[in-house]
Amino acid sequence: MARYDSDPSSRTGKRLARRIAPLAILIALILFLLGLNGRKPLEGARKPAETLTAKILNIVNMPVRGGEKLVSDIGDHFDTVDKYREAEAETARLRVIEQEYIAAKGEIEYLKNLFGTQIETDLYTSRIGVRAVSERNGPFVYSALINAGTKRGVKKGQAVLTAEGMYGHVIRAGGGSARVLSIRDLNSRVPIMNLRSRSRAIMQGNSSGAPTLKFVGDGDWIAGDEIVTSGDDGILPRGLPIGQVSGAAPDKLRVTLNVKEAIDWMWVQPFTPIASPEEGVSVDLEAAGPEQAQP
Amino acid sequence: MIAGARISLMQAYSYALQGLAIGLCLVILAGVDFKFPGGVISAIFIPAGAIYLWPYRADYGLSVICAMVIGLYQDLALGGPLGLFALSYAVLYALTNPAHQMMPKRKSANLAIFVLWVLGLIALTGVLSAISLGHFPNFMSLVLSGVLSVVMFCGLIVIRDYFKATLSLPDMRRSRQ
Repeated sequence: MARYDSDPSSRTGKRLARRIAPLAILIALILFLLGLNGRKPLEGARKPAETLTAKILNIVNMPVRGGEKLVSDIGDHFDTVDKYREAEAETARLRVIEQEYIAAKGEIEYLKNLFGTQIETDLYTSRIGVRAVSERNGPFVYSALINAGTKRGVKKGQAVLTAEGMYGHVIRAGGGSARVLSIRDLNSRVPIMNLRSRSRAIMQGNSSGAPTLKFVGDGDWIAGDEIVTSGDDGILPRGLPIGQVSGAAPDKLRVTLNVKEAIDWMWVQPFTPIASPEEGVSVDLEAAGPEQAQP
Repeated sequence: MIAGARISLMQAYSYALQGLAIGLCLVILAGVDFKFPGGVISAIFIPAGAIYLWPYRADYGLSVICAMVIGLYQDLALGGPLGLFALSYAVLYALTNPAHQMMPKRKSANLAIFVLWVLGLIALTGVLSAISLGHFPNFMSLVLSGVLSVVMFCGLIVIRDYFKATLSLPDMRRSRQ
């Protein structure tokens, strides 16, 4: 029986429907194929889509976060005494670290004055507080959508941290939202440094909580060594805490990440990378004028 | 008798657009992450619930496009590989044509069918992401997302039945013979 109220439109509609359905699948297939091999089609459409979604998720997430907080508060209520003892022990430990920090800061200031150098010790003084409105821990990607974008100074490439350490870096920044790629993601590569031995390597994400270390060379790596960003890429600042070395064999070195818990509040670390020497030379030549720029 | 009545082409289009609107809302729900002590899970397959409950008599061609748009929005908004869900949902709709299927009267039967859908989507998205990303996704994470999607789908069925009962709307897809 015809589904529509007039036979001609029904026939046309059915004919059209038969043609449109494979066309829609074909368009989807083309989009999928265009995205292969790391290409990024429709990149411009992602930003408004993410900004819109971030705004809606900000509201939709409220009852979810409220519920989680309620459950967490009830749990905390039952072990208040244990939490208080833990906090006391933590305070005692941090007082010692505070004393060490004050002493180290004094030494650094003294050495800076002595050698007249500028060191980036004001790294954490300027940062942008953000909230993750959507975190995706697999199966396809490890990333987070944050509720701040270019309007608040968030730019592509900037590092994103939690209280525990580095979470990832901004891969796309829209007006009111940004996409952060986690250091766990398979596509993540971060140049890192062993804080003890100063050995360098590349940390490669593998969609797990323990990314692998590549290009370790003859470096000195011992399980438990603290790992920080080396800043060798000129994109991330040096010294952002990441985790600790685990494993013994050079080809099986991994990093146990500091950021283990699900994230909520975090901050974006603004950083102005140093321009490459080539860029500096070209700027100098342009400033010198066309005659002097000639060899 | 109402179920057997003929409708205009514009009505058929509007039914498809209703499905699109519900699907886009469910993509937002798929973006909500639920934090557990073991990690974070999101119901990434819940937009398939909108496809399963697609309005009765929606135009087939436009419905496939709408299913593709739902998937495309999910790909763009939630940061996955482009075309992954667009292709999956378009193929899912084209193969099953849910608007023309009679819905089982028992909820458990609907749930069982949706579980099969989710399993199919897990397999399809797994293969497509392996092609796109060069590695198979975390199977456990996929399964957990599927389980959460099925749980949310139960809630969706309850809400749908509640609204139909409250507004005294006839359930076309159940009453059709």
